Amino acid sequence: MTQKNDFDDTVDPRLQQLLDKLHATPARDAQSADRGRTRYLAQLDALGLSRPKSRVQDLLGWLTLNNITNPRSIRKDGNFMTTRIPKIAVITAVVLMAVMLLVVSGGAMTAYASRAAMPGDALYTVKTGIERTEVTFSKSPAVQAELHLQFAQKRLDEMATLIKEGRFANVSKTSAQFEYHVQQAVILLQALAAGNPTQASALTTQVSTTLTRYTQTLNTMLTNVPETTRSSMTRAIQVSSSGSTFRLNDSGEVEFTGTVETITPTSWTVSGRVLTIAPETQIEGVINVGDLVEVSASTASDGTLTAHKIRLEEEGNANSNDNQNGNENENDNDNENENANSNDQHHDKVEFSGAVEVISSESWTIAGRTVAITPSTEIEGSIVVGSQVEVKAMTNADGSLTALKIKLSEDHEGNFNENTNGNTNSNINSNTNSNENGNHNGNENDNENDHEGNHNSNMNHNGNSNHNGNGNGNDNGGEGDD
Amino acid sequence: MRMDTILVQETIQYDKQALVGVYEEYSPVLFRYAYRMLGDSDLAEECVAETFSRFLHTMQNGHGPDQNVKAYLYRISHNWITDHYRRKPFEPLDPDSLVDPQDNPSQVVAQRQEQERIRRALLRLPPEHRQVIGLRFLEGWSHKQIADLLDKTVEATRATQHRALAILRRLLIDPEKEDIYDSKK
Repeated sequence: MTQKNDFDDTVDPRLQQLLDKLHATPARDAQSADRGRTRYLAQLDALGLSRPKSRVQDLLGWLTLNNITNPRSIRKDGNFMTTRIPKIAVITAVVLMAVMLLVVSGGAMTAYASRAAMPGDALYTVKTGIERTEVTFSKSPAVQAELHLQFAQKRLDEMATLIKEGRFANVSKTSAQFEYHVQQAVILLQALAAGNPTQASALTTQVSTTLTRYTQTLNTMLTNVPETTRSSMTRAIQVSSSGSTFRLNDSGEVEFTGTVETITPTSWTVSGRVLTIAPETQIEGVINVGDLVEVSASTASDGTLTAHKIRLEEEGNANSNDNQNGNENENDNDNENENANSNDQHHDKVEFSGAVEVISSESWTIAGRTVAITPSTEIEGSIVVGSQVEVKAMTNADGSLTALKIKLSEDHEGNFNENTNGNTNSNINSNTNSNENGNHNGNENDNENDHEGNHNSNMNHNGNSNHNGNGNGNDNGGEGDD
Repeated sequence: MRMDTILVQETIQYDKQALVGVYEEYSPVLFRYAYRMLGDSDLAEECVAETFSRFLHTMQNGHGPDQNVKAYLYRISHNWITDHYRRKPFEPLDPDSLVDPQDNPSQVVAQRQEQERIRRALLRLPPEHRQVIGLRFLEGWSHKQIADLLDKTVEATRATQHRALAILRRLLIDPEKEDIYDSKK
């Protein structure tokens, strides 16, 4: 209330309270809303506002600009979207064109204007509204899933731009939308699994490959956002990562790995996916919220899942516990402890140091050698081009290098407490591997894995005694200097 | 450039994609507004559908909004709601029909009866008063936005709000004075 006059805004609090009672509204029924939209679109169509055929060019342009026929914004690292999408993109484009020519033949200046809109921009809702419309127009679940994956990619690109521009306030919201699109893609896949297993199987590979890449991209971004934004992004990573494990087994059931979020007698939520718990559902082991589990479930035609079996995940747990408490104390016991029972045990480790020449999200060049950066690469310290760093990397089968760890050289950071223990993955599938990081800094940094093959990546920046006691006998108890 | 301005430029050009954009943008907010005024999801959907239908119709006839699509749509919704109550005045409350079996019946009935009482009071306001109260207190619009919609000055909308609140107070908080309003009417 900035203005005082005869008719000021003072409201009797009792009256205000009463009016507030009308404020809550129920969630809109999706079917009714869809019916309303369909009716509107039909009326719109009946208006006969179609344009001359030359507008086809506009539509083609619009599709191109929206990365449908030519996904330009995709990263250059030879990934799925650039190498495998074209055929699908063309099909998608043809379907979309056919549908859109019938229903929306406008040139869509707003669409043009909004295509570059970023979250928080005025036109952004138009952009996402158009996306929703595209999905609505696509009748095939496979095409819809494909669109959702594309829109998830757009959200990722937007997040990258927002982070680059320091507009962190909008990152969480965009991250939530990314999550939504990933969930929708997987739900559609689930629905497809019930109706058309062959098509679902093909799509599964596509979804899995794409989501693996998205997870990697998000992990890279995570290092560049403030703490407040991390939780939403971490959740997006979880959902994406879980979605990438989605597969169909021989009996037509879906299987995936995810984190238990809620547990009730009749339903569980695992990485955002709701599972109906039936009397015959097998639950193996004592499972708590937060546990990583493997799920096998049957799907209904509406995409709902009924769990057949839920059990604690046993292989390849990737626990990334990134505890940033601000202390620069590099207590690096460097217990890589790569108990990863993955297939890369034959890979050799190399260590070298030198000046950083190039930094990109996928790879760095250090002392003339290019190393690939993965989500599990540990990057310690504020490293910029020109920094002297020490690198620990893994040699891949093709001779290329994947960085396990890059950190500022001791000359710069003064505290490179190398404690390489040389346990080169000899503990294959046999060890109970309990990593407990006693973090004496009061921080929450506990990884406890009682299962085989855990890959524990602990980025512990707290500088305190970090005792990493492994049940596999490799007691890599390194202690760093304060 | 404000989205409204762009949307209206596009809608004036009869651009279908923009018209789809208008629907995607405003149908959810109009649904919520209609629900608050009507207290019924089905009716609220009907209101949204009719609003957009009338919107397209006026666009087709070369009329339609000249500056603010959102305000224009709210105005159509408001008129529809007013017409609806004119056609079908409030029926006496039937507590049984209000109960969702999954909820605590007594609590829900009490809550919904209270909401109905407030809506009935709103309905007794002159339409423009009702519109001001709805936009200001249910939708959170500023006086300036409301003034633009009504094509009045901010002072005039403040005066309307002041009078509307006084009436509502009498109807809802001091019912014994209700006669005064009724006799005025």
